[in-house]
Amino acid sequence: MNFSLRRHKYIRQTRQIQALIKQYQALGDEQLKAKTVELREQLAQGKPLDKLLVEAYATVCEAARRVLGMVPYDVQILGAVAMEDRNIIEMKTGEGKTLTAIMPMYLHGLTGPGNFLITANEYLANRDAKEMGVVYQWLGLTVMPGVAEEGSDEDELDRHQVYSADIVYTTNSALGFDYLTDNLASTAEDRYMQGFNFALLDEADAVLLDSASTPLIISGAPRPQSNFYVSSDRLIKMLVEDEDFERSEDEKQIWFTPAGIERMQAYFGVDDLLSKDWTDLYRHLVLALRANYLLKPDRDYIVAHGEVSLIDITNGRELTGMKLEAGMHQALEAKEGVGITQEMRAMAQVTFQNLFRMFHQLAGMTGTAATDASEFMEIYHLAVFKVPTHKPNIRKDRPDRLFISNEAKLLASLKVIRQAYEDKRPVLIETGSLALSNLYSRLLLREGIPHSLLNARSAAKEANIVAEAGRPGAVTVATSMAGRGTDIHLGDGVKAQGGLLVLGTERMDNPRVDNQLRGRAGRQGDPGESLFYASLEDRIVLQNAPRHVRKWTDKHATAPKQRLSNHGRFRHVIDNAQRVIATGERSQRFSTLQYGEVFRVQRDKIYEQRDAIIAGEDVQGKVDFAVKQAARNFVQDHPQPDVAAFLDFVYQHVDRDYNPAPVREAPKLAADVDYLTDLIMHRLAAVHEKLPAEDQWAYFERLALLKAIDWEWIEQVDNLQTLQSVTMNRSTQGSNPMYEYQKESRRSFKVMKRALYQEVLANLLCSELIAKADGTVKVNFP
Amino acid sequence: MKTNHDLLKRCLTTMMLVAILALGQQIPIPGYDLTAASDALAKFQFLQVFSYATGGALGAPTLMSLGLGPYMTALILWQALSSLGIPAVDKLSTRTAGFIQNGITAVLALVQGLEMLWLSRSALTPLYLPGGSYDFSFLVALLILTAGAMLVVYLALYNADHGIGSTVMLILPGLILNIPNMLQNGWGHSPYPLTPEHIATACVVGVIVLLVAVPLNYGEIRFELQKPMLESAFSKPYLPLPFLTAGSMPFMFSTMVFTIPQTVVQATNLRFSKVGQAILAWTDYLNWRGIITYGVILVLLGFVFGFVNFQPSKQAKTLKESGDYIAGVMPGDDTEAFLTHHFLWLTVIGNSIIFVIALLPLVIGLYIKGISNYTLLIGNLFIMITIISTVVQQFQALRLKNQYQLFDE
Repeated sequence: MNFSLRRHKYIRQTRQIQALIKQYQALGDEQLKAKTVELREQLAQGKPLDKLLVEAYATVCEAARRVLGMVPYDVQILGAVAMEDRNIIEMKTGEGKTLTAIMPMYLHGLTGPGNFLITANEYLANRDAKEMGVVYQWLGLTVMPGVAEEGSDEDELDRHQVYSADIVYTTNSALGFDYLTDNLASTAEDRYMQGFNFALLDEADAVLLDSASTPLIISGAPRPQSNFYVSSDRLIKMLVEDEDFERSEDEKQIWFTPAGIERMQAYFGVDDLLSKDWTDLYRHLVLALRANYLLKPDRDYIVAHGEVSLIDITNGRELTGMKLEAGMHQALEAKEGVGITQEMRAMAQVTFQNLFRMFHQLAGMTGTAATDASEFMEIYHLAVFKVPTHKPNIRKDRPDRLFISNEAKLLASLKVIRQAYEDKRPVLIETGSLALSNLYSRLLLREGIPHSLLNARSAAKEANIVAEAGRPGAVTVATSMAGRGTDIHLGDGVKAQGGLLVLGTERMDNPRVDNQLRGRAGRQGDPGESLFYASLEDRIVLQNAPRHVRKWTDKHATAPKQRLSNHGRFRHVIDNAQRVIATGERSQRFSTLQYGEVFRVQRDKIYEQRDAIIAGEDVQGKVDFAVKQAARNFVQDHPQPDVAAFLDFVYQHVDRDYNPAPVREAPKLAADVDYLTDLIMHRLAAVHEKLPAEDQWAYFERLALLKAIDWEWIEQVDNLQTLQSVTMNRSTQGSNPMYEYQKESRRSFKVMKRALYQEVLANLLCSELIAKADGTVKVNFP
Repeated sequence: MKTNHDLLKRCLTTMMLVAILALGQQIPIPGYDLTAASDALAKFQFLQVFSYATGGALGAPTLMSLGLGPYMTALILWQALSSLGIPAVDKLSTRTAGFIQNGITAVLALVQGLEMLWLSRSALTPLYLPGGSYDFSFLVALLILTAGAMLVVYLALYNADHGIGSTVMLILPGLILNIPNMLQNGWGHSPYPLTPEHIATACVVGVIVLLVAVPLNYGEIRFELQKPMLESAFSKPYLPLPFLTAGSMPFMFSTMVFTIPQTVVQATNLRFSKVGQAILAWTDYLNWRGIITYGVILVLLGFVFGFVNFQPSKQAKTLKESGDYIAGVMPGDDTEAFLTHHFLWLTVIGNSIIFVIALLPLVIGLYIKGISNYTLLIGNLFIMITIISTVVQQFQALRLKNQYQLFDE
């Protein structure tokens, strides 16, 4: 891709900015601060934002120099200019992305609230908001972190204050979460979001690609669950592999054999485990099987403080507050013998693709974007722009060293580490999982090499460990946590030794994670070296390489010569395995995108109606429609007079104290829509008398509608989630599962509406209204 | 109406693409005397019949004569290949798979182009390089034909992305427009003049066929699935087994398979040998031997395409690995046997119906001249129905995509 034309434009603008900065240096502090006001006025008069770019950038650069003492390099200004033109800039870590970001953020901050800088984690959001915030505030803009400080409670955050700031530093999950909860508000006062204007995504590839493969789901409403988890787990632990169950060769799938099923039937004393009567029990057995054999502790999850927490495999960090769905988490808890938590159902859902597509303008920065440029363009209309490094990169990236067995690989790597340790050269060792980091730590202890260990369990000490990692003689073992955002400064004398040595003990699922790791060494023109070790027994090879590789590995695992040449037949095995994974992830994201579209349409409709109700638009009309339709629906469902059903309906939804005499005497009334409607309207009037004040009544009606919508939407979100799985088998010659999904979700929406009208009815007519002394009324919804 | 912009745009795009295809089928290949070529090819009526079923126009050598035939054949071959479950094939990225499919298409286009050009080579004017003596005309024509076929593939894929009806939509206009010709000339040896009575009969037959074929097309058996990894389902998950397991593919390709031996024999010296004579006899649809052959081919194709579409063993394997199962059936081999059993039964029944419907006109045609052309009509109606049902499904999905109301029915 040839960007030479755009590049010239950006360079030209960069020169203009630098010239203007020189002029601004002569301005006094007050004059510089006044620039903000001046720029805002120009905006108000209708000047387009990109015409203000040069002045705004010059202003904030000069302000940064005065407030922080930091002068942006020309490559940083170039990156900032490129970002404003709908680009993701590829800028190596250590080049100062945080400072680069303040320029577009300031520019967009001039327009008011709705501008976000999305970072990878909460720690960084808070830190950057504080550090860079002083500049914005000096210039007269407001800035807030969108996430709570480390250690303090999420709920203490004043979201109104946060979202009315011009600039918000937050994480993608916090933003998504807040968006969804904002749409659960009941009144206009409770709403805090002020629109989605501009988002700058730090680590854009992690945000837009890695975390976009699954939607963000808020779970809340508890789901009834059965007690089979513990007993199923006990039985599974007694089963024998290859007799009772089998695994696929890539170890990603697992299933029972017929013998296994029979054995389980005998254990439970059940005649046919596969019949419909026992689906629930079988379900728990399948979950227990997967929990016990597919999910591994210290790789996919950790057990800490009596709880099971998930680990993000790309960055090795603990995923707080996230659980596996559909009972899988509970099966894990049973396996590890900790208390079984309550199963929740999905309450609200949004895909990150849809979340970010709601913004008017996007920009991004990362150290590794080029490989996925086409996807960025297709889904987000963002191009990739490579920013040259401030000082030339002299890091030496050595070719991989490939071994047959894991053991040989680890022993060979130990030799290199020992050498570096003796040379007092700092080493950063990256391992593939928490378990492997522990293993490596023990190996180093055996060798007598002192070292620090950085993984999800030691996350609290991260800043300290990273600060020490560049000292002479420092040896740090880490998971991929030590990837993004970790800036390791070199100690004295280290440059002479060749800088930091980054040693990867295996290649990761994603070449971007590998490159992030390499980027730890050789920052800002420092010398450095990166070296990856790999073996044919690594997980990535086992799970994604062709079968003949695995067979060959089994045969030669104990061969005397373990090192494989870089020109042999296996030289591309890891690259190919990574490509297979990338393909799978891409199609997963595409699928999420497509399903997310259907979801989005329904969700937008619901949120639109909620907004209308909160604003008070035609509430009475909606109420009238809902209650009358509920009556019509009932009569439609019961065309033959059914007194019992009628009474049931009335007691539950209309009037608990209804006198059944009229219907008992004239059963035909049970199917009379006018009679029912009359009953309802009378009852409505009676309830109105309890709330004579018009504003109170209006508020009550609004609440009744909103509560009904929210409750039914929760049900619908859950349904839409499960429908994806339900319709995916329906792909045959004529049928596309996507269209099936659309059809079924429409049907589901219709069913939801019926339930909604009944719910509105019940909310209005069967709530308990308790008048209080101070004139307010307390409402207990049914 | 804002929401229907997308649908409108798509319909217009498809119309434009159809127009381009029609245009392309009017652009003659340089070096050909078009009338002489059409005359030469008119003798091989069956060639044209095959082309109609796949959006081509093999009556005269034009840029897009080959239509979608090579692409569709390539797709089927690819589907057959991936149904074998070779891991190396499964792991290919969509881009690589696409490359390979295009490669197969190009090869098939070459073959088909070769056939067509060979049959009409008498109409070719020689083309020499200045000073040379080698006649390049054949090679140039072949190259242009192949390029035209790849261009049609591009149009079809573009339609799938931006138009309506996926790739197969481009076949539809040609199919419909050529119904009169097909009815009149059939496979070449039994003319059926389009008198008003004949047209009326054709309409009646058409309606009857539609009444039978539409339910057949939409009918399916649903095997209720139990999904342990799913918490609860408002809607019942099922595995569908369509009644017409092979869709209308047997009709699309039966002509080709039926008439290729004839072509080969007649074009070469085999027509003088005993073997050649036998082949000709057994593929002559105007006698009972040919009719039986045609029926056998239809049924065989029905089984083959059915297997490629449904793939009982792959379905059973997928179910087993994801933990899903059919209530009362042990996952693994038992499920595979179960699915295969039902598949075979359904295919037998479906094929029998098709056998009867398709062969009836041929049998009657032995006694009443020209009725055998109705087989082609019926085949084409089946193809039309399957294509139209795909288009309708997509149309509905797009039309209703944004239509949600909450407080007014």
